[in-house]
Amino acid sequence: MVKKLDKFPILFFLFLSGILIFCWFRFGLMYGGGDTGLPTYNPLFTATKIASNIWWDSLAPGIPVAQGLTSVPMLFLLSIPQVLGASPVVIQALLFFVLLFLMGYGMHLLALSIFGKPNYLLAISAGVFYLFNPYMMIQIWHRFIHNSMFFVAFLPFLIMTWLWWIRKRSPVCLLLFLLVNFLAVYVYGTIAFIVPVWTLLFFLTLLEGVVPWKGRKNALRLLLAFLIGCFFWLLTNSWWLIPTFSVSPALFASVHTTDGSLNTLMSLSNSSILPYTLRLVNPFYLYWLADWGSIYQNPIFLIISWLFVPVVFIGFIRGLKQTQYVVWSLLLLVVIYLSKGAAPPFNFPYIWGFSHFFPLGVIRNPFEKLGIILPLVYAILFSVGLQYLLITSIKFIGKSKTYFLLIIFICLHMAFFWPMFAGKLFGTMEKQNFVEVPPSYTEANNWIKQDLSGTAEGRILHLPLPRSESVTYNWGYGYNGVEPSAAIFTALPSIARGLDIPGVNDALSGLSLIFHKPYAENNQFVILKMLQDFNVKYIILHKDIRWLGGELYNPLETETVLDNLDFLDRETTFGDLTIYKLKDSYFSPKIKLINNIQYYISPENNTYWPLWLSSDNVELLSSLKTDTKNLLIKYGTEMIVSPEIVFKYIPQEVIREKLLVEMPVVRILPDSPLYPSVRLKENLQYSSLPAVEKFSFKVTLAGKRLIECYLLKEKGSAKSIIPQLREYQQMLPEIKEGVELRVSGKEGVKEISINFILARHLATLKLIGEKTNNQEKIVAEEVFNKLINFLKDTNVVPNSSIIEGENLPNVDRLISKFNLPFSGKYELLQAHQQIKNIYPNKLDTNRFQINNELKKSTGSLKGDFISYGLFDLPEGFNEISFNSIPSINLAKITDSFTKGNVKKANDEIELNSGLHDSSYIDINVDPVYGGNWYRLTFDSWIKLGNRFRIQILQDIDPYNPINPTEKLPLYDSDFSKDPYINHWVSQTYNFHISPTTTKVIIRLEVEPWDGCTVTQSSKKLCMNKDFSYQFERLSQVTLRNIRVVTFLTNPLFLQSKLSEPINTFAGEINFIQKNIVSYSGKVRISKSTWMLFKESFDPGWELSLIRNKEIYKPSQHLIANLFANVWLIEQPGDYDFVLKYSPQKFIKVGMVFAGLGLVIVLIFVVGYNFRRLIFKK
Amino acid sequence: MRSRIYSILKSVLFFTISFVVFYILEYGFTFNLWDKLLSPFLLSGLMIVMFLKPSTKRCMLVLVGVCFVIMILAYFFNFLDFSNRLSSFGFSLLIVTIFLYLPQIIKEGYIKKF
Repeated sequence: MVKKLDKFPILFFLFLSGILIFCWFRFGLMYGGGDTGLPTYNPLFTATKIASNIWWDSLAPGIPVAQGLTSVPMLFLLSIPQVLGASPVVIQALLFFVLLFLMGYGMHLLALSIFGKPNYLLAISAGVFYLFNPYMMIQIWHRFIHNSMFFVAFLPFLIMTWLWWIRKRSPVCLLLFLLVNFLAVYVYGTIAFIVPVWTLLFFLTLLEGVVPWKGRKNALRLLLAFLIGCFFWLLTNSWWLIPTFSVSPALFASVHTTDGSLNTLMSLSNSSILPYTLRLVNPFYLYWLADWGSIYQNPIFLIISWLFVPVVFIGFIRGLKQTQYVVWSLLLLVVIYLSKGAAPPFNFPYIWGFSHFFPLGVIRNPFEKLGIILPLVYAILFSVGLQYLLITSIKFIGKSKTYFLLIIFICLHMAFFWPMFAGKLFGTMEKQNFVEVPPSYTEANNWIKQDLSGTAEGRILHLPLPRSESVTYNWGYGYNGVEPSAAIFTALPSIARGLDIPGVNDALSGLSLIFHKPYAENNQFVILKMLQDFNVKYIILHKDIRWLGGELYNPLETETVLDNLDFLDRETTFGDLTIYKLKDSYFSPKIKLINNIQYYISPENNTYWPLWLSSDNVELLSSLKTDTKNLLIKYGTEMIVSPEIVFKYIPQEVIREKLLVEMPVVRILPDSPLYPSVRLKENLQYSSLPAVEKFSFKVTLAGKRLIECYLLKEKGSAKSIIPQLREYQQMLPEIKEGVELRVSGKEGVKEISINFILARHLATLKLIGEKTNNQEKIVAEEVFNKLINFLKDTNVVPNSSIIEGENLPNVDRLISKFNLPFSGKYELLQAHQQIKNIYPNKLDTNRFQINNELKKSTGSLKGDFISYGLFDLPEGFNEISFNSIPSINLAKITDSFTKGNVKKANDEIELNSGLHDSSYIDINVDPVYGGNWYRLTFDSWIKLGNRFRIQILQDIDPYNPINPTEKLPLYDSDFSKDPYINHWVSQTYNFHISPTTTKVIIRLEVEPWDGCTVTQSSKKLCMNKDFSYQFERLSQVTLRNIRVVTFLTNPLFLQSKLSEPINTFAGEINFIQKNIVSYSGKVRISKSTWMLFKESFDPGWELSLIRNKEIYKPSQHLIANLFANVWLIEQPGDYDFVLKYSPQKFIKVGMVFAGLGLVIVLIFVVGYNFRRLIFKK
Repeated sequence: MRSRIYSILKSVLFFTISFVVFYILEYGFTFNLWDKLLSPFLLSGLMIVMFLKPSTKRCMLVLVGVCFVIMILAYFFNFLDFSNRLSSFGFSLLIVTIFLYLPQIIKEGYIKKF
């Protein structure tokens, strides 16, 4: 009987898991997409060729993904059924089955250890609750993050083994804990999960020692156990910890910032307020996106969602009264507090922590990262509460009625989790995330494998190339998520998506756009150059890609481009895939020697797409170091310099009378006895502010110091203003960084312009100077000059004052600052982008202010640039500015299309709606320049009705799925009538078009006046079109002076010739690729030469040259073609070389430590058992 | 008389300190939020009451329960903001109450009697 009882839970959870798996996989299809992609599609390949290395070359041109190592054990286990012939569907179903079983049964075992063996039914209820709760359904399964699935599956085992360890302190328990961690290591693929694991283990240990307090000795023993457990955990996980923390922090810091993490935390706080957190609900998916429809907003479902909360609360209260459960009750409070993040109450410590500790950014979604512990704690307390309710209920209403209520309770809850049984869990109501990779993909991959015939050189470029990580394909069941080509195309690495490395992503953006208008026109050589730069051998054109509504372009247009390229052969077609191959004579190997180099001096934050800068026979080199002067002089043939900073300058007009109103308000002056308390308050407030708010506050304080000075003088106070002026002066360096960020446009988009504020500071200082004399006047003037220099240093104002007459009213001045390595002749170039014809004089001449001189230059086309001639420029900073003039009117009104009652007379267009129909006019914008800002200006007069509508229709806008003839534009705005103005109103509307847009139409539409919303008190009634129909009336709008302009903002470059290009090759190179992270070969050079390696630039790539058993490591490691690696080999001669990704060694180092840790634990286990044996004898 | 004055002064001091602590925990060092003083004020007041009369802790737990019930009702009738504020207050009161039970929990290992 006892044995039957032991078997029953196993069978029960196997059965339950089986039912769920049947419900999910009865269609015979795999699930995929989202942030995860297709992790179980080809586990053998992924484990052996991708994840077992830090460097992932399959995501070409390569990226370090150290935490991918954690997926190797899981992938290895999944490769077993794959080798036995299981399909990806079966592999995924098997994985989910095992995870479901582990979740349910693991929770049961943990609950059993807490409740005791007699309460095995209660433990089963805990297991069932753990499987079926809103958090699991939404945040784990629906969200489809596999690391989370592993986390929840193994968490009960982690806790159980940890509790055994800290209670018994037996090495066997420690070994078990470490073994469970090894099996669960995939959890740490999301590095942030280290935090919830160790937070939970810490609190469990703390509460074990403190509740109740068993004495200092016991506490110390627990502390020791904790430290030992932590130490061995670190040791046995070093095989992935060491590589991850050697590589990832730098990458993480380049992608994420403290401010970004804080912003994410704050924006997510609305979805983690207590009414949601207590119900374990993520409202984003359940209510706001309503992935399962609006049924969850139905009152009955709302009631159901609250039903278990009081049970848990009862369990919480009951738990406080029993020693075996009190820990879980206390843990509940802690976990709820941590999970709600920046939502109240007591959220200030959270926000403060995020503002001041960058590493906390890993848990910037606390509900997802820390709330994952909630279901486990809830499961235990739910069972406790349920037990109490059942006992009480049986006492009062009897067994049968109690069980009847229990059945209703269970049925209601199971109704809540209907998506889990209906197989609608993954995806939305309308569309499940089924994935069926078309057979054409396998066929294409096999064809490439065969064509390669054993060689493995080159890459596959997938077009259209997405510039982000995600893509949408029109497969049989669709696909939306992380681009999956790396797992599908195993023949060669794939360039199939953007990578999360800022510089490399720019290069990939260029590679994407070069195959699209207008860049693809007349740029064959640049296309070939870029294909060679990226080591491309095959191009696969995906006609099944969904390009509308995104950043991509029509693949049919790309097909035309590819068909016309002489250096490509159109090989074959499989389904929607067409394979092109680069002719062998044009193919460029991954490692090669180069001579002709063009230096590209680009500051860190200014990168330009290489399609502007690529030249057909020159490599572009840039350096992360600032001092490259010697290299330039010795080895460069040409140099291109991009500006260190570019900013818009708009002279500020300050009206004296309004100045005090525009400056911060000051009530208490320095001569008041209350002033010290004001300063104390300011200091306290400043110290507590998050980093994002500190800058604005500091600027306000600076303004306050100036106003205090002014008001003191105005008042005639005897108090000196020198301390205030000095304090203001000291604040300037403190706000410098913030000012520079705002000038560069990286921050402060929604703030008042810093130029506006500082112009007022300047004006206030001038006023102060006029009101002071003697020493105070001297100091005021000194501070005034310091501020002017500060404004110049921070690029708020140009270094050289704009020459009188050069500033045009309402026209921005674009200032470019170049930092030149030496003086000499430089050619001034402006990126062309086919814009000449839309500006006055077709930009044949343009006026530039170069430092303090005005130059009127003639422009001539030079490839992709407009050249304005040569200029002598000194070394150091040089400033070149020009007016960002508006173009000619790009609105083609004469070619416009109209619908409805539209009258054109003289310059005016009158739009009259019908009683129930709208009227509109479609105005073409021509020409169109993707990626530009445009401004629409017009006068409007709403004569009847109260509004009209503007839509900017781009050819890349998606179609409305409900009404396929209608587009869903990004820009769709209403202009409402001001009831006090019944005349012409000037309107301005700015819009930005996608880089891949080639056609833009401006639709100005007038719809019938909706009288329903004005006359009816119930607005809900008006949503019924049949009802609101009767209240519609005519509308009339007249428009005139419609203009669409763009502004001249094309970037400037300076080019300088250094020496004559070298036409003869100075060397030979042969190499083999040993593995993904190691290349070796021979190189022979007769003079100083550069070695180019076409993987993404990473300082971890190291070149070693071996000659006569001596090893040389080149000192110059630069960036080539904006993404790749290049080394300078200075000494001619014959060398053997080895090119390695050095962080790969951390895996071996880590494995040594891990093995050591395991051996030590095993020794302890053997020793412990041996001692026990002897002791028994 | 003297001890009564001391007791009152102690309570006032304790109230002030706890008020400041709760205010900072909630809003940091921003001192312009005059309209948001109610919650820290109430919390401090209730904390003082529980401190002076430990038997009221049980009532506070009932109050927490009432807050959560009203929170559910408010949520149900679409008063999300009110529901959020009430749940925040209820949860903070719960934390304070359990915090005051901590000595007993640490000593006995559970709460013998509410």
